[in-house]
Order: sequence, then structure tokens, then C-alpha cells
Amino acid sequence: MRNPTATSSIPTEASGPQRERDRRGGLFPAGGRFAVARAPYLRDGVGVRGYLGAFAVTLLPIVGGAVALFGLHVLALVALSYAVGLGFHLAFSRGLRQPRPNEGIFLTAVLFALVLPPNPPWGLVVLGAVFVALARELFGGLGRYPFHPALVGKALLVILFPTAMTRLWEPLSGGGAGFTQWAPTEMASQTPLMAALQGQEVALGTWLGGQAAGLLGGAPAGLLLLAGLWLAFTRAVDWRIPLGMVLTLAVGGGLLGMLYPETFGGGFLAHLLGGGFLLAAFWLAGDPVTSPMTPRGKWIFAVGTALLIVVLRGLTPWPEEAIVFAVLAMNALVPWLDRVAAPRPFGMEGHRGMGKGGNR
Amino acid sequence: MAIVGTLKTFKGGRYFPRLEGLPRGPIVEAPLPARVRIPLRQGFGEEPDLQVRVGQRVRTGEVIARSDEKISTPVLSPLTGTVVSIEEGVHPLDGEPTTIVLVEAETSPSGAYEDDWAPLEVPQGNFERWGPEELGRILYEAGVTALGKWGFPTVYRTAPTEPSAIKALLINAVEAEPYLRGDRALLYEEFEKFVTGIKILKSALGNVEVHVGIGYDRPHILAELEARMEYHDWLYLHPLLPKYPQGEDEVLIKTILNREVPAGRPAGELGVVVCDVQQVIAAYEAVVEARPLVDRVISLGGSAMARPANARVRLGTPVGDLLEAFGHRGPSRVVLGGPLRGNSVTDVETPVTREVRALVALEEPRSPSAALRWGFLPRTDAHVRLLPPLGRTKRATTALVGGTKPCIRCGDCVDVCPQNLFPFELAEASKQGDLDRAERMAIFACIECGLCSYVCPSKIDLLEDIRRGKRWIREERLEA
Repeated sequence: MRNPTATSSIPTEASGPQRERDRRGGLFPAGGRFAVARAPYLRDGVGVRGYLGAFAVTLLPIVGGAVALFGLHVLALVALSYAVGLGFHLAFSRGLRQPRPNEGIFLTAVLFALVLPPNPPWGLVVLGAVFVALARELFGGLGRYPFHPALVGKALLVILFPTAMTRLWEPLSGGGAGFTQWAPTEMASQTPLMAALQGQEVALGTWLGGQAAGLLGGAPAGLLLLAGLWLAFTRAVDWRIPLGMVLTLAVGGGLLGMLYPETFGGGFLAHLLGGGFLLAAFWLAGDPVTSPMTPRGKWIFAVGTALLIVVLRGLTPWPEEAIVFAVLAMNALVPWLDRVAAPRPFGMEGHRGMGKGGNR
Repeated sequence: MAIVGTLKTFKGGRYFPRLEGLPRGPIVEAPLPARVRIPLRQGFGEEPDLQVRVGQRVRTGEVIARSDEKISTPVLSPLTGTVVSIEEGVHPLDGEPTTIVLVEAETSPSGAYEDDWAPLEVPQGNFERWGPEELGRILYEAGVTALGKWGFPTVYRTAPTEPSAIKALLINAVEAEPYLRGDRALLYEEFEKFVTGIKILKSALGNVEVHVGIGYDRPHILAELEARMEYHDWLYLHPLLPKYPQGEDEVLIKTILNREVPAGRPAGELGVVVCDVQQVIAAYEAVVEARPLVDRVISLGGSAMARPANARVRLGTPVGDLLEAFGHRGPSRVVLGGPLRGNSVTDVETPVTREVRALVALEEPRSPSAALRWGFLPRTDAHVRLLPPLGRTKRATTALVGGTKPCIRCGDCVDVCPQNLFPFELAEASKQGDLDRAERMAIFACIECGLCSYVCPSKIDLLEDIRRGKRWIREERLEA
């Protein structure tokens, strides 16, 4: 007779407290050591940290570009907003049974720094960082906020302190000059986007080289394009959103530009490469938490955002801020879009109780 | 003329990379087990009535349980030996109570196991002249009709639909689930049986169209079939992209016929029967060789299996025997079935049943560094990657990356769902107890392929939540 138990051990579950520790994960990328105990027993090899990390990593060259153009204070902006964000995160996590995940704080901090204008007043930066942290934590932390926190911070600052936030600066001249200086010294009168909107010709080199001075993250557009395409290649951002935005810009923007050239002029390239459009297309509108989950919802979101950007640029006195308010407005529509544009399940024809109400 | 369609695929789904520990090589015979445990409910159908007693000697292929009144297929003995016990137990795959018959093998004086077959009653001559009733009887008595998600309809009560209601027979020759490679090996080694088996199944159903879905990465199979079946105009061949879960009934029907199975209902309601390669070959063996279904080809593999292979295994073989025979090394998680939909096994006595297609042993590492599966390491399969995918085999382990996080609303689950559902919302509705909403959102259309959980970066147990929701709704309906 063969011994029925003479085979290799099939493991049993870990102990209760250990399992709880494992499930929660931790600060380290490896996080929870818990192995999957229910079907499916295989999981995709990337977690939230990797997913949001792709967004953050592709932004680092942009930060580098901003430093090169506007000085080392950019790094201080990132550090400051990260510190404030982390502080609020820890404060809001106290006393909770389950710790809140800390992914995404760094990404939000970098994005907030990149939507700020060059050389902003430091008091306002701190205030803005507080708004950003609150916009994230008050709603429940990662994955639960309806509005993009970085944009909420910028929007509130722009509304409360318009003159301070719309002061323009000339980028530091000489390639790489920014790495040795702290901040720009000369003020500017207008950005290339504003110039284009008024009908002036702007050279392609200006766009790509990065003289767009309204947002730190608007500089240099060539780098933004490359980093954005790399982000799309990682499949972290859903390609529908940047593609939809660019196509809408081409078609809708072109249409508006033809009908009302004084207000919406400037041309496709100006709108695409200036004013942080690429930053918005890939990292702000493309942010998974504040964009729709459904494919059709994403297309509608992309079209709406791009149209709003063009309209706001034409009709408001601050075209550089258009992306902020356009994305925020579309963020408000996301829960509705997910419901209205939900996919049609297969096999529901004539099923009793199923009307067009669907998942309401 | 067999008609060849264009290359087709379906919305969603996921290609699986070449994984470590894939079974390869010719089909081997697994060693005969010393004893088998036979649950009376195997494959599609209810539990048929016992026909044996404790202490009775049974031959290989002899009927252990049969009931012509219930929707069922006879259960046959996979070994020659003595019935040692009949007890109430739990089915290894769904956990529901069932009767389990334990048969101990008889040894001959030389020490080897006896294998005394009780052949099927099969008429003489060419099967094409026997007619659907006779063929149906043979398939029923061989146990072949229990294979498939909803059984194979015959004049006996083997499926929820009558054979006269069937208009199309679909054959799944696309094996897209990771680690399942038995069908592929069978097509390679037993191609003649497959071809004749198709004709047998068609004759068993009468005037139906036959559609065969073949992975487009095997064009030679397609060409061979086309050549062999030249004179049959009821055959349609479809090259399909080998994307998981192409082989599932609902997905195959939608891809090939462009029709949707009503949510949660059998495919027979559309007049369609779906069979896979094993069922076709088992039909051939029953009809032409009078060989009842007492074994099947299973893929044994995984990153924790030292000698992965496709093996012909007697039904009822305990999992422990197989693990030992194919070099299992721990610590690992052993899964009966594919790694995406199967059942975790902890008891070495768990038997292999008719529906089992694979036994996968996945490494279950216990150190934190093992869970480090960054998206840019080439040996990891990841939806998000920072660098181009390099390297050919991907390590399959059960290691999670990080703990469960809140939903980041990326929408990957929606993108990957082959039934066009909204998995996260279904899981939320189930968790919140809003069962009406879950049902309205077509929770029963879910085929439980497991891709939503697989792809979720937050490692949310979407599949489990959806399954729980379905269970609660069914329980509610029973109470009402």
C-alpha cells in the first residue's frame, strides 16, 4: 500500500495577524507578501505603484526640462508639495484600521509643481499644496477623489490670487543654465501661446525648445511629446484619451479657428504644443482616477476636454489656465459618463427586468 | 467544400505569454493509481443512481451509476478492482455534497494492476449508417455526453436541450488558456481520430452545421482539415486568434456565429452545442473502438512542476499521485484546472474528474523579494511596462505585488472583459448587497474567466466578489 501523504507539502494559509500584515502591503514596492489564494491564481505583474509610477517616471524628464529653463527652484516646488501631501496623508491616516495606501502622492506633487507658473510666491505654493492635499484626502485618498487634486490646488490659487499666479517670466537663456541658477530673473509680457492666439507667427523651434512660460510643465513641448508617447507605450495611460484630445483639437479646433479666427485662431500646432496641452492630454486628463473607466466614456471625456480647452483659451483672458479648468469641468462629469456610456453587456436581449435603465 | 472563414477575434480578452513550466512533448500515460475516488456527479448533469454495492468487483468501464430519468450521464469505473466504500463527500470542484465511490485496484499475481475492460455495446459496420439514436446511445453509455459546459444532447436526457433543437455544432480547437495544452497535443497526435470524430458528432445530431474554430497559429491544422473534409458542405473552418478566453462557449459563439447566449442560460437555447477536441476524440474512441471514457488527457505543468507533460490520466486518480509522478516541488499552490479559473487543492486525495483539464502547480514564494515583479523586468508578464518586453518565458507565480489597494479606476477590467461587462461595478454592487443592480447589470452574463481579477493593478478580487454576488442572488431566488 502506498502512503497517501507521501507527497510534497501543499501549503496552508499564513496566520491571521501575518495575513493581515501581508494584505495591507507596506511602504516597500514588494509590499504585501501575501500570495493569491483564490482564482485567478496568476496576477498581472504590476501593481498600483508600478502603474502610477509609470506616470511619475515619464514626468521626470519634464521636470528636468523645467529646471533647465527656469532654475532649481522647480525641485524645491516638488519637494515642498510632496512634503505637504505626505504630511496630510499621515495625519488623515492616523487612527484608521487600515492604513491608506500612499501611492500617488509623489505623482500629484510633481504634477502640482508642473502646473504652477515659474517662480511663484512661496506662501501661495504652500497654500496650494494644502488645497491639493485636502482635495485628495478629504474624499478618501487614493482612487476616491473626483477632481484631480493638483488641478484643484492650481484652480483655487488662480481664482484667489489671479495677478500673482499669472505673472510671466522669461526662461533662463543658454542651454542648461537653469541647473546652476535658482529662478528666472526677467519678466515676460506674453507666452508663445498668447502670441499665437493674437495671430502672431511663432517658430516651431520656440515650441519644441520650450519657451512656453505659462506653466512649468508646458516647457519644452518636444520633450512632452516624447515622454507622452513613452507613457502611451507603457499602456499606463489609456491611449484613447490623448488620441481623442488631439483628434478633437485638429477637427474641432480647426473648425472653430476657421469660423472665428480672431478668438480661436493660432493654428493646430500652437494649441497642441503650447499652454500645457500635452501635459493635460497625457498626465492630467489621462490620470486614471479622475477619468472614466469605460471606453466610450473615455472618448467623450477626451472630446469634451479638448473642446473646452479651445473654447476657454479663446474666450477667457488667461489662455494658459484653460487646461486646468477644462479638465476639472470634465472631471465633474465622469461618474455620469461612466453610467451613461457603460458598455452593453452581451446576452441581455429580452432578459426579463432589463430595460434601457441598465446599471442605474 | 469545407468553407474557410476569415480570421476572427472578440473584444477584450488577453494573450498569455509563454510561461515557465509549460507541458511539452508527446502525451504520456500516467501510472495507474492504486485506488480511485469517483464522485457521482462529474461533468454536466445531476447525480445518477448507484448501481454497485460495497465489495462488488468492477471492471474498467463498467457502470457504477446510471439514471435514465435524471439529466445525467452514466459514471463508469476507471479501474478494475473492488468497491471499497461509498460515502457522502464533497465534489472537488464546486464543494457541493455528492456521493463518492472508492475503488481499489486489483493486482495480478505479478504485481501489476489488472485492467479488465468492459467494452461498450457497439453495432457492426460503418457508423454513418447507424443513425442519431444509436450514436446517442453509445455516447451516453460511454460517458462522453457529460463533457462540455452543458452536456451533449442525445435522445437520453444528457443535456437541457433536445437534439432536434440544435442547429449548429461548434468545435473548440483553440486552446487559449495558459497551461492547457492537451488539445494541442491531441490534435498533433490523433488528428485522424479528430477528423472522424467530427463526422461522428455531426451524425449524432443530424442536420447541423459544424463550425470548427482553430488557432490561427496552427495553419497546418486548418489546411489538413480543409483537405480531409473536402466533400462536406456542412463544415465551416474558422481561424481564430488564440486569445483567452476564446474557448469559452459564450465567446466562441459570439465570435463565430455573432450571436449572444442569453445571460446565464445554456447555449442550447440558441440551438448551439459546443464541444472541444477531447470530446471529439472520446466520441471516436467510443463509437469506433468501443472504448468508454475512463481517462482523459490532462496538462500537468507550472513553475513548481519539474517534469511538466501532457498525460493520459485515469479519472479518479488522486492529485497526490500525479504530483509525485511529475515532479512537484514546493512550496507551491496546486490548482485543479487552469490557473485562472481552477480550484486550489489542499488535500492530496482530491480526485481528477471528467471536467478537469489541467493540474497546475504554481510557485508560491514566501519572501518579500519574490513579490517584486516590476513591470520592466522581462520575466514578468505585466499590462504596464516601462521597457519593451524581452525574453521568452515568463515566470508564473502566485506572488501578488503589494497588498490589495482601492480601485484606481483605470478601466482595465472593462477593457479586458469578453462579455462587455463592467466588472468593478458588478463587484461593488455585490459587495454592497445591491443585488438588483447587479442583476440588471447582467452579472449572470459573466463567464467567470478571471481576466478582470488578473489584470487589476489594485489586486482586487473581482472574480470572487462577482461569484459571491451570483451565489447570493441564486440563494435569494431559491428562498423566494
